[in-house]
Amino acid sequence: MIQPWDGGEEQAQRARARVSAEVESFSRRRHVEVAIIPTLWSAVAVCSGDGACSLDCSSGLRSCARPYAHPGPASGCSSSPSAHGHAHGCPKAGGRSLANAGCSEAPQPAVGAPVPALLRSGAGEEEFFNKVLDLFEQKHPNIKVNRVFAPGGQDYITKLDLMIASGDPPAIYGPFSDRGYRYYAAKGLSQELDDFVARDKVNLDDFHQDGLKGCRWRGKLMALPLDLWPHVIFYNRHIFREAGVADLPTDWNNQEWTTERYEELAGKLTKREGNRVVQFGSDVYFRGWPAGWVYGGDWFPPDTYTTGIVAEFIGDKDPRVINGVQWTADLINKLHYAPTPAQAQQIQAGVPVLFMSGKIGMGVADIGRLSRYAKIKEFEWGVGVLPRPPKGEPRRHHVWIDYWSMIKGTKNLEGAWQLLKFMVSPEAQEIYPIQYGPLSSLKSLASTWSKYHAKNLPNLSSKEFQVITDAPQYQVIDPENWTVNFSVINAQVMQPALDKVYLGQESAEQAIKNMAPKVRKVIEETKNV
Amino acid sequence: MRLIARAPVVPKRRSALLRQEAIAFYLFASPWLVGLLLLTLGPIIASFVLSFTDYPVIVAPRWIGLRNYEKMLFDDELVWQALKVTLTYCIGAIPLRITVAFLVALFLNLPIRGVTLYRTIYYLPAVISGVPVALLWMWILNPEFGVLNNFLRVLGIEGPAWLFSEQWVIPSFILMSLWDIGGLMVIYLAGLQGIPAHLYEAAEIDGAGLLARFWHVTVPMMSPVIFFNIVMSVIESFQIFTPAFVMTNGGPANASLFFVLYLYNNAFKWFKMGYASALAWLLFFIILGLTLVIIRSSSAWVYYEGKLRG
Repeated sequence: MIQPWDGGEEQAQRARARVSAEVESFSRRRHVEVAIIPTLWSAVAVCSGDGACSLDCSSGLRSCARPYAHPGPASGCSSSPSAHGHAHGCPKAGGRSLANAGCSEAPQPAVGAPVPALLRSGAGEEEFFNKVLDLFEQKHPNIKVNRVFAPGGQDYITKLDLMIASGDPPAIYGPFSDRGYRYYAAKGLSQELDDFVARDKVNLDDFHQDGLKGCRWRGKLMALPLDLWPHVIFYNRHIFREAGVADLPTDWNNQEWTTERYEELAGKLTKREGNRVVQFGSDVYFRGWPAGWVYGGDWFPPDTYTTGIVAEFIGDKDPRVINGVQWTADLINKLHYAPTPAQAQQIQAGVPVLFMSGKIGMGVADIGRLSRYAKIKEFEWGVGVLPRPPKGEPRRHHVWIDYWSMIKGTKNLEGAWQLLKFMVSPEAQEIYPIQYGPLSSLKSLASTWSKYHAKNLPNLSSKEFQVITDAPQYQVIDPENWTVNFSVINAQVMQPALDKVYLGQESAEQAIKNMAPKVRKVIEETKNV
Repeated sequence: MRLIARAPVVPKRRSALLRQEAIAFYLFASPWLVGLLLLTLGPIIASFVLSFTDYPVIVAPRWIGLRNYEKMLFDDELVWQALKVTLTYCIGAIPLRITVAFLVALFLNLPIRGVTLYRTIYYLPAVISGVPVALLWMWILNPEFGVLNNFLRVLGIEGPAWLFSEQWVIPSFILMSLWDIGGLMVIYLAGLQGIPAHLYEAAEIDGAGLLARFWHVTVPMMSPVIFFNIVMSVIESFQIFTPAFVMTNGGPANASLFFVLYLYNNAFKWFKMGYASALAWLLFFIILGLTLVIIRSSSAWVYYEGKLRG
């Protein structure tokens, strides 16, 4: 038998490729799931459709062969890397389950199949991901990463699902908004990471703790957070000076800075010529479901975010939700301090983002805007904290968090883990996300982010940098990333119903009352995952 | 006397020739046949089977019998909303497109100077693909600064919010459907040029005026072309997708949720591939039904020159 540690790496690779091809071919012919041991090539696990697997396997250097029961797609043939090793797999996806199994006894060098990684290419991210992967491959010359890029958002999700369906899933992936990794975890497709983390002593305490909570699915660690995109207010200092008002507060604990003060300020910054608004005091202050959080309320009970499943709707019973939505709509339709979609389209003509037109006093946005705003030459801008809800209600703002996860049953599990571990390491995070823009998920890198961006954003004071780096402490993860079924509920019922509020056709109370039974119906259809 | 039918005797050489011809036929037709079997017929059969399953794509399909159809017909408001939106659009757009394209073709069939240039200009929008056209119309229809509302302002009319209004979003799409009548127009033009001139001369001799010639010669002679254009327009209009996907994404408040957009959302946004397949079959039967109705009605109003009426 050829072993890589015997110096016969090339021969070993050829042999692996040959055996792999034979096994794949056999798998296709027999309609079975097959797992390969890259090092001990004689051992192959054949899992029949009824769940019985005749042999276990490992892609590590050590292996064992033992019979195991194939538990099916929901739980998989998982075993811990510490107890059994780190690589296992019945690496078939698509039409059938992605169950896996495995055993070995100690951390091993990851040699074997290339690690396919599905990365985002939207808005210049590709360059930074490539830098990270170049560095990874330098440090791990025995692991080849197959880089697959897809634009962010819905296109990324489509690509991911189709890769899984085609039986060629990525080893690691990081869905962003729309649908979090929990959707895949609920279908038994996510690899448990607890044992890898314990084995390699990954310091979980350094991660943003709220973000880390979202990484657990049914008690198991299934993902790791990479970056944070908190929300802040960007404001046009030129318009502020012209209106004779003070800069925005920079202290998240400022009790005076409430939505009422925001409204007053927006009024002062709004400019009219006759009936026509020529300068808006505010951009649209959250629209759609985030508006329900503005006054501190929530659409769903708190346990939703622990279970990861929207099982109940309480938005119609919470006056804070109704008032929050109504207030954001009133800013547009009643007070005319914020633009309608048609006005926004007009103002935005020629610039990529509305705020860059110079005709908006202030607007809420996530910090992904920083790289764009750094290019503004026409006016000075600053950063402030979001206002608190009225009547002393607690804050409820959301932070977007990118989770990266591993697909269960991937061919080179150890290689995939090494890559994931590297991507969330301080060394890699100094490139992505820090150089790209968003905050690092590691608390220890907060000052690194500020130092790096101080060069590009000389207009921001240290206090303003602190607004950004402190923001995640005051914000929680959005339901899109945190729950399995929210995006369908939102797209099918909530968003169309809230459209009527923003068009000024219905009050928030009426729209939310009307949507409630429909939301409950979709919840019933989608909550059993 | 009894006549015994005999099979015609084909000479041996001719039979070999026929065989060779048949082989050549299948060889030349094979790229299309393979395409049909693998890329069209295969997916059609697959979608029919999948319509009886719950198939989220990333895990195996699960057989659920008629549940998708049951939900679609009795338990999904959005299906009815999508049908309502699509039907409203079809009722508005099809007659408008058919009529306007016919009138434009009549105009472009006149012996005027530079007519080929006009024909090119009218046909040009039809060759621009859907997405740029959609983006262009977003600007035209902007209520604040769009060309259309600015024009209406000149006339003293405050235009509607078009794409941003529940009431006006479908009329906006209907208006926009006039953009690409070039295809219909070219077919009409070909039909018009095929009408024999002697029919007009005979009618003129009989004292028929312009309107009478149009009504008694042009319309009957063009009826097969009108019929063809109506069938194609019904099929196309029921499948409208790109403008809604790019311009409104079904909004506001689902007021432009066209059937194919809803189907797409189910298939590629929420990955309910089984349900989306059932929706596709519903759409297929609706289009098939309407097409059959139009074909059946054609005997009453379509004139075929070569056909003997019994």
